[in-house]
Amino acid sequence: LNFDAPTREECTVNRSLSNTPLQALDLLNDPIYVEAARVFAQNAIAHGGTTFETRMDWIFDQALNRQPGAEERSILRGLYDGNLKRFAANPSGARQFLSEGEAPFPRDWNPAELAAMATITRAVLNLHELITRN
Amino acid sequence: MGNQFAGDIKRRTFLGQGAAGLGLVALNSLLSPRLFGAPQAGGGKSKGVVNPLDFAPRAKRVIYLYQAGGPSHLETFDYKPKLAEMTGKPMPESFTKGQQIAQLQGQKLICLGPTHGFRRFGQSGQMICELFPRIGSLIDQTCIVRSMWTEQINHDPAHTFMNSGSILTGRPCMGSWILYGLGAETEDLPGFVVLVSQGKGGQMQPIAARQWSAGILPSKFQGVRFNSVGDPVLYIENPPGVSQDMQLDSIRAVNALNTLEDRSVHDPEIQTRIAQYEMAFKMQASVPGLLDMSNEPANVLEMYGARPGDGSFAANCLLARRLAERGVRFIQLYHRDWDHHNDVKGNIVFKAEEVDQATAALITDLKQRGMLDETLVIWGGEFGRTPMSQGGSGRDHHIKGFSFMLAGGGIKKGLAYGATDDLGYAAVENPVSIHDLHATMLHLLGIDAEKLTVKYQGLDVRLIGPEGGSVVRDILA
Repeated sequence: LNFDAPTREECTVNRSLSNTPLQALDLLNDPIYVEAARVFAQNAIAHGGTTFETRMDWIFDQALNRQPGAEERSILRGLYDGNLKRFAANPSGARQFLSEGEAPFPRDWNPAELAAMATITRAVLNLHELITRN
Repeated sequence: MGNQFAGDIKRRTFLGQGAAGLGLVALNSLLSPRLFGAPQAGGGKSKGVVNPLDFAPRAKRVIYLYQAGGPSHLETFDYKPKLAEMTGKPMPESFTKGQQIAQLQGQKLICLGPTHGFRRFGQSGQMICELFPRIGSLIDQTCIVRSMWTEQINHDPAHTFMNSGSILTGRPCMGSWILYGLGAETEDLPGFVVLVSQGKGGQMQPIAARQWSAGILPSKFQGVRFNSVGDPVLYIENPPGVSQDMQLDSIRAVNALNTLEDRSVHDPEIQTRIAQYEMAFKMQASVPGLLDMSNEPANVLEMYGARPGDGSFAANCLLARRLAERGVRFIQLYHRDWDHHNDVKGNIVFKAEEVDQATAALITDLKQRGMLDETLVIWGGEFGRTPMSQGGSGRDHHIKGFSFMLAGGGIKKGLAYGATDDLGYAAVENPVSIHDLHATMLHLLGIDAEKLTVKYQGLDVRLIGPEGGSVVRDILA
């Protein structure tokens, strides 16, 4: 309902298109999105090559069907570095973040790195470009 | 493929701008010549497009207690002894001939008198249904309009007409117009909040989200619906392990990326998206305080008859006051199940239990806090109900005459305005149209309804429609 699905109580010829803070809260904080972002990050690390840059390419290719531009890379790099530092300083926070949802995360991976990468995928999954078809 | 089009406007966006997107251009220039006009007398500043205000405002905000389904005026505010005498007799054809009828088409039209007693309340001695003693006790502080009429006889179009002044969907609703005109007083809550409750009648009639849509206005002016049951706002907490500053970093990154996107595709919705992510972050801080009822004294909870979070009209009335305190501009509470095609006598008892105490508590509470003078409280539905019976015990939809209650900012106290005929069929004395109500509401907020327009498809769209509405000056204090 937050995303304009009709309630089916009456017929709808044309959905109203809304754009609300409730949608933002859902996409940012709903456990299922947090889990999806984390598994997306696991896949990026597993399949997106070995460097931050190749993983960015892979994430953008999967999510947006295009490559990131230089400014986008720099914004996400900043976000990644900041979060990596904070998660490294707070490993239990990183594990809490990674434990959201039911899909298991690889225990032998560095939790701070995975959590920081999941922050990147979480940001990408919140982009207007991704969540709207228009 | 976004990159290769960088700097260009995407075809789809460009075409979209033919309809909605041009609104952006219009917003910035065409639509608000008033922004560049000479300041007018009397107004005062605002954060919206009506700046300065057209008039000195009498109210800053609206709490609209929307009784959805069509409350019977004959069992609330409109006393019709003559109709009581006529119970069981045929409705005179002089009233009904050629008039629109909903479900009673082709049926024999029989009068049904008021199914509950009325008595006098207050110094003004107005006759109010005795099921509403608490509203009755405040009658000297309110204004009852007994001469409302509308154009639409079925629920959904009648709601649409009430909310947007048009029967066509896609026009901005009144809360959006007001937010557009005046801007928001609060930075950390939406300026237009919707709450929905339902009653024991269990009819569960739908209220479509279209009823609080911004329509052709930018979508940041739309109403934001809070849940009534459970958590009013979902996912207000950060994910585990994510601190406030980490959350802020993420939101800043999302907004920075969206800003880049906007630079290449020029989609006005992206600006709204960015603003809504900022709002979401602010709401994460503000909403827990809004919903923390632990600081409400027991006597206040008791006055409303509210258990916070139970989804009742009473709980929503209390939440409405808290939203009003925090500067929300337009607060619309829908209370459903007023559609009494059967057993109006029994069903209206449920409704009275649900709304009488809470409505009176809200008005009293606002008054005690010194907020009633700056808050316009409106109570009413999308239409009224027939003086003719449906199936012996119910009443059908009725558009020719029904009642509204108004109180607070700029409204005359202790007044009963207008009247229906002897049988409660049609508004005959000082009839008030929906557009008149709109014009009056905007006037009290400092807006000239004639002038609040948006260019769309070559027309100056406005809340009061092409036909217009008049401020009901007689009910202004």
